[in-house]
Amino acid sequence: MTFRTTRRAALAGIGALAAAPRALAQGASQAVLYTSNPAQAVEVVMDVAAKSMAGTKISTVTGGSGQLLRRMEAEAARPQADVFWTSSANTLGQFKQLFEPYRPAGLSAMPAALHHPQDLWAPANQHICVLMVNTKQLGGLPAPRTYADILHPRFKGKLIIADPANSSTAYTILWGIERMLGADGLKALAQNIRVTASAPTVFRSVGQGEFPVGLTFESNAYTYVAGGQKEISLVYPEDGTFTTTEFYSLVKGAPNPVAAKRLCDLFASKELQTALLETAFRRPTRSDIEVGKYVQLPEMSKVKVFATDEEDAAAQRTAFLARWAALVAAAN
Amino acid sequence: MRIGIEDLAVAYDARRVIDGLSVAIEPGSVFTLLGPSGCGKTTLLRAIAGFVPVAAGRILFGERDVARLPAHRRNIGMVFQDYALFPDKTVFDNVAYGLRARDVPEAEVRARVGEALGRVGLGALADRVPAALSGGQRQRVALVRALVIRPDVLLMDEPLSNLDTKLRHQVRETIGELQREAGITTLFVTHDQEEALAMSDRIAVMNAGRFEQVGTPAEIYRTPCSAYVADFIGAANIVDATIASACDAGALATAEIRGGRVAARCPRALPAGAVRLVLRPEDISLAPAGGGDGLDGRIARRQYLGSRTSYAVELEGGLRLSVDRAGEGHDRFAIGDAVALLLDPARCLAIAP
Amino acid sequence: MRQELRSVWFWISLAVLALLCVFLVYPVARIFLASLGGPSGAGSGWSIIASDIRYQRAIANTLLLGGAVTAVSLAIGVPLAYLTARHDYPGKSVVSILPLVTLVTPEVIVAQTWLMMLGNNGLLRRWLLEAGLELPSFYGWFGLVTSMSFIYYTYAYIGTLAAIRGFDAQLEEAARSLGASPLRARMQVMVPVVLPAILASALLVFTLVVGNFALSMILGGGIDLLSVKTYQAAVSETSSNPVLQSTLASVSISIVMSMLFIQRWIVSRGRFEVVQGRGAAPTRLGGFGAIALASAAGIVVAISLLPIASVVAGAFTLSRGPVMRWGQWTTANLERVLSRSPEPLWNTLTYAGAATAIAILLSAIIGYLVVRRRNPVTPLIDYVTALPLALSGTALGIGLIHAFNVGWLPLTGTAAIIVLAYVVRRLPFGLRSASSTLYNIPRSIEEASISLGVPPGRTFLKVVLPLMVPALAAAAVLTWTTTVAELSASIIVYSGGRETIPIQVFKLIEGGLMAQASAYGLVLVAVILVPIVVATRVFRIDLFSSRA
Repeated sequence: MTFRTTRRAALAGIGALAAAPRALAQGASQAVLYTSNPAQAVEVVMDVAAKSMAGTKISTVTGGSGQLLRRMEAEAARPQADVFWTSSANTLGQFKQLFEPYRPAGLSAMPAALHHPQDLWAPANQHICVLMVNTKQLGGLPAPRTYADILHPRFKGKLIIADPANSSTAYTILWGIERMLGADGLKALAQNIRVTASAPTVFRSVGQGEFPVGLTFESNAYTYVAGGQKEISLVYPEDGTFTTTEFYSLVKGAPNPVAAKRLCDLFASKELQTALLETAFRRPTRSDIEVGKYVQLPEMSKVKVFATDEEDAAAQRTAFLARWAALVAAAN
Repeated sequence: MRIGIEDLAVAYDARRVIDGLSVAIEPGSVFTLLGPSGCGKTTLLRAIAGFVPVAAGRILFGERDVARLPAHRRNIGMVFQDYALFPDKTVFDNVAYGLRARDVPEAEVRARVGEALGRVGLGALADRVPAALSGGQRQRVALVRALVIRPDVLLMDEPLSNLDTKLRHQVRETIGELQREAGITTLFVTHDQEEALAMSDRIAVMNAGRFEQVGTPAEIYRTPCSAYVADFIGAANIVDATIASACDAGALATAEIRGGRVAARCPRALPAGAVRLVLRPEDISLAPAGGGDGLDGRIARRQYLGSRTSYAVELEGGLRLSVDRAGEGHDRFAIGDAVALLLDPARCLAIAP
Repeated sequence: MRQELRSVWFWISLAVLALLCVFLVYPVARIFLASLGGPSGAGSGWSIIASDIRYQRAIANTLLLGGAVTAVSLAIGVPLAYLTARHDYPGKSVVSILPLVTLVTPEVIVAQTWLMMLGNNGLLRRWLLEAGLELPSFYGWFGLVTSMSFIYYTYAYIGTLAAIRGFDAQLEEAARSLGASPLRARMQVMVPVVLPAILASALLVFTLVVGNFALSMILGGGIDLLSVKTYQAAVSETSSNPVLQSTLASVSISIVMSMLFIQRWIVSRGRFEVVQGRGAAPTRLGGFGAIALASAAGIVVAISLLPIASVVAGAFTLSRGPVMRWGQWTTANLERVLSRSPEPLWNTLTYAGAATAIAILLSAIIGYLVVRRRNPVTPLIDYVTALPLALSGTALGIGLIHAFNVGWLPLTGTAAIIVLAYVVRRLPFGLRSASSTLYNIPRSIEEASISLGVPPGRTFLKVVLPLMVPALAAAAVLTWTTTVAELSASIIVYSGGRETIPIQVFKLIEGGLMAQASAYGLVLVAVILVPIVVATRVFRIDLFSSRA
C-alpha cells in the first residue's frame, strides 16, 4: 500500500510541477524571440534583458534563419513569434509580409544608411566575414591570406561553410565571392568546400580541429580566440571581404506586442550593443560605441571591404541558391 | 438447494464437447464427477460455475436458471486445485473478500470470518499471507473462503490433487465435515477414484463429455455398467466371454471363457453371444488344486503388499487373472503352485462387450 | 459472437485498437505512402535516392557501420559474459553494475564525453600529445565504431550472460563423459545452444546502430549516414521536401523490419529448446589469468563510467565561451541551469512523467487484454503494438510531424506531441513487462474473485492490478530512465520553449559550449539516478527481473 500512495503522490507532484511553470509564466509578461544566433549571443541578450526588462520572460526559439522564416510563414495565421533576430536584408527581403514597421528608440544613433525606409526592420549588429583558421590543422599548407588563396585545389576538403539556404551568413559570403571572383571562382570554391547543414558546426568544427579553415563571421570565430585557444586565428582576406548588417524585426501580429516593442528597443540600446560587443564580439550598429575600447578587433576602417548590393542579393536569392546547389552537386 | 442441468451443451470452436447432458443433484449432497483427463468433467464444472459459456440447455439452482448469468452473479463458492488465494492479502482478508464484495457490514464480517477460521483451526494465522502457510492450510483457507459467503452450491475442482497423500486424507476429512455442517450442495471433480468413493453421495463417471454411469459409490463399484467404468473404479479383471443363451436382468448366466466356465450375474439383460466379465481381484478365492471346484490355474506371480498379497494366476488356455488375498498369510502359495480359482457368481458380472 | 459483444472488455479492446490506429498506425502509414510522392507531382522519394549517390552512400555506410559495431560489441560483450558467468575473478561485482551504467548514461552525454576527451581539442588528446603520442582523429569511423561499441556491448553482454547462466551444465558434463576434451565439450555443446541469444543480441545492436542519432550526428564527421541524412531532411528543409524525409524514414524502417524478420526466422528455425538447467558454478580464476581478466574487465567498466565522470568534471569547469579551462572550477554553469534557464529541466520532468504514467497504464490494460481477454480484436492489437520496435526515433518523429501537422488533429507545437513520441517509443517495453508478469498470475486467482461475486472489471482492479504493481513499478522506473534521455524523436517534434534537457545538451554541443552542456548533462544524470536509487534501495524493486 505504501507503494501505491507514494507513486500517486509522485505523480501528483509531477502534475503540480507541470502546472507550476505555466502558472508562473502566465503571471509575468513574456516575449518570444525567434533567433538564428548562436547560444553565446542569445545568452547576452537574456542577461541584459533580465536587468532592463525585469518581469518579462524572454523565451527563445533557435534555428537556421531560413528554417525560422519558413516556420513563421507557416504560422502567419496565428503568429507565435514576437521578434525575429536576425538576418541579412537579403534574406528578410523575401519575407516582407511577416513583419511590421517599428521605429525603435535608439535608431537615431545608427547611420542612416542602415535604416529601412519603412522601418520594416532595424539594424542589430554588423558582421565582417573572415576566414577562421586553425593553424594546427593546416598541416603543411600555407595560411591563406585571400579568398583567392582558398580556391586553390590544395585546399580541397579543408574548407567548411554552412548551407546558404539556411544561413544568411553563408549566403552573404558566397554571394560576395561570386561578385568578387566571378562564377569560376564560385565553382572552384564549390570543389573545395564542405557544406554543413547547421551554421554553428562551422566554427565548432574549426575550433575543435576538424577543419583547418571555416568561412564564417568574425564574431563567431573570435569567441575561440578570446577563450584562449591559441591555434585559432582570424584572417581578414586581403582581396577584400564582405560585411553585412544583421537586422531584427517586429513580427506582424505578434502575440505580445507591448513586450515585443520593448525588446526591439532593447536591441537598439547602447547597453545591449555594448554587451554584445564585449561578450559575443558583435560589432554594434550604433555609432557611439568604440570597438577598440572593448575588444581586440580591428576597426572597421582598417578592413578592406568589398561592397555588395544587398538588395540585389535579396532579389536574386532563389536563382543564386539554385546555382550554388548545382555547383555543389557537380562537385560531389 | 437442488442443483440440476437439463440438456446442457457446451461447445469449443463450434464443436460440442458436451451435448444433451442432464442430471439432478439432491440438496445438501455431494455429487462427484469422476474420470480421466479430457473426459469433460472440468468443463462441466466450469460451465456450471459460469467460466465456460453454455451453448444450449439450462442450469438450475433451485428454481433459477443461471445458464446465461455471468459467473459473479450465480452465488457460487469455488475451490481451485491451486488454491487461488490472493497472495498479497492476509488470510483474514482472503476469507473476508467475498463478504465485503456483498457489502456485509464490517462487524459482521469480522464475526463470520473469525468463526470460520476458528472452525478449521486457523484462527491464529489470520494475519499471515498465503506464502507463509503450508499446502494443507492454504486449501483450508480456500475452502473457508468459499463457504463463508453461504453460496447456493459449492464447486470443487480437484482440490486435493496438489496435496501429498497424508494431507489429502486430512483435508478430505475437513471438507466432509464442513460440507455436512453447512448442508451445502456440492459438486466435486476428481480423477482419483478412492476420493470419489470416500466422499460422494453420488458419482458420475464421465467419458468424452457423457455420463457413462451415475450412481452411488456402491452401485458404481459393485455394478459397473461398462468396462470403462469397471476399469476406472477399483482394479478389475475384464475377460472376454460368451454366453450361450440370452440372459434376463439380474439372472445368472453361464459364460465360457478361455480355460473354463464361469457362472456370472447379468445386471442388465443381455442377448446371447459375446459378453465381458468383470471380476474384482478381491472377489476371487484360491484353494489348493484338485478340489474339483473352480477353474484350474497356476500361480505365475506373487507380490506381497503388506495388507494383502497380489497374485497373477494363469489359467489353462493362457488367460491371466489378478487375485488379491488379504489376511491369509503372505506365503500361502508360491510361484508355480497349482491352484483352483473359486468365484462367487454374485460377484462376477457379465456386461455388454 | 454475441457473447463477445456483451463483454465490456471487447469494447475496451476496440477503443484501444482505435487509439493505436490513430496515434501509431496512421503516422507510420503516412510515412510509407508519402515516400511514394506527393500530389504536386514531385517524383517519388525513391527516385531521388536512386539518383543521388550521397543517399546511397549513406545507406551503405550505415549498414557497414552496423556490421562493424556489431562485430566489436560481440567481441567485447560475449567473452566478458562468458567470463562473468563461468569464473570468479577479482572485481567481478564491479562488472555486474555494467547494465545499470549503460542505462543511466544518455547517449548524447557519451558523445559529449568522447568529444571532450578525444576530440581534436580534447583533454586526453592534449595530454597524450604532450606525452608525445598523437592519436588519429576521433571523428568519423574511428570515433563512431569506438563510441558505439562501448555502449552497445552491454546488450551483447546481458543477452549472452543470461543464456550461459541458464545453460544446463549437465549437457557439457555428458559430452565430457563421452570423451570430448573440456574445451571441445564446451564449444560443441554450449555454443549451439547459446547461439540464438548471441544472434538476438547481435541483431538488436545492429538495429540500434542503424537508428542511432546522437553519436552519429556529433561524432560522424564527414560520413554520410542514414539517420543523419534523415534528420537533416527533416529540419533543414533545403528543398522543403517532405517526400524525401518520408522516404529516408521508410528506408530506416525497412532495414529494421528486415532485421526483425531475420531474427524471427532464425529463432523459429533453430530447434533449440533451452531447458532451464542447472547452471555451472563459477570457478575461481587464479594467477595471471585472473589479473589479466580483472584488468580487462576493469578497463571496460572504467570506459563505461567515463561519461559520467567527465560530465561531473565538465559541469564544474570554468569556460570562456567554447573554450574550457580545465583545472579551473566554478559553479556558474550549474547556477545557470538551475536558476536562470531551468525550463529544460521542468519540461523533461513533466513530459517524461506524463509519458511514463500513460505508457505504464496503457501497458497494463493492453497486456491484460492480450494475455487474458483474447477476442477477435486482440491479435491485431498485438501486432500493432510491435510496430514501434521497427521505428527509429527519427523516423517516428517525422511520421508524427507529418501526421499531426495540420488538419483534424494538429499536435505540432504542443507538448502533447512530445509526450506522444515518448509513449509510442516505450510502449513495447512496458507491454512486455506487463505481459510477462501477467503470465505469472494464474487465471484461477481472477476466477476465484469472480466466483466470490466480484465482476470481472472490478476483479482486474482489486486483484490483478495490485499483483502487477511490482513489475509495473520496475517497468515505470526503466521507462522513466530511457524517456528522460530520449533525443532522436523529440528533437524533431519539439517546438520552441519546449526543449528537454537532452535537446538542450545537443544544441549546446552543436554550439561548442561544452561546459554548459555538461551542467545540463549532470542534471540529467541526477534525474535518471535518483528514481533508480529510490526504487532499488527504498522499495527494493528488482529492475532487471523482467529482462531477458
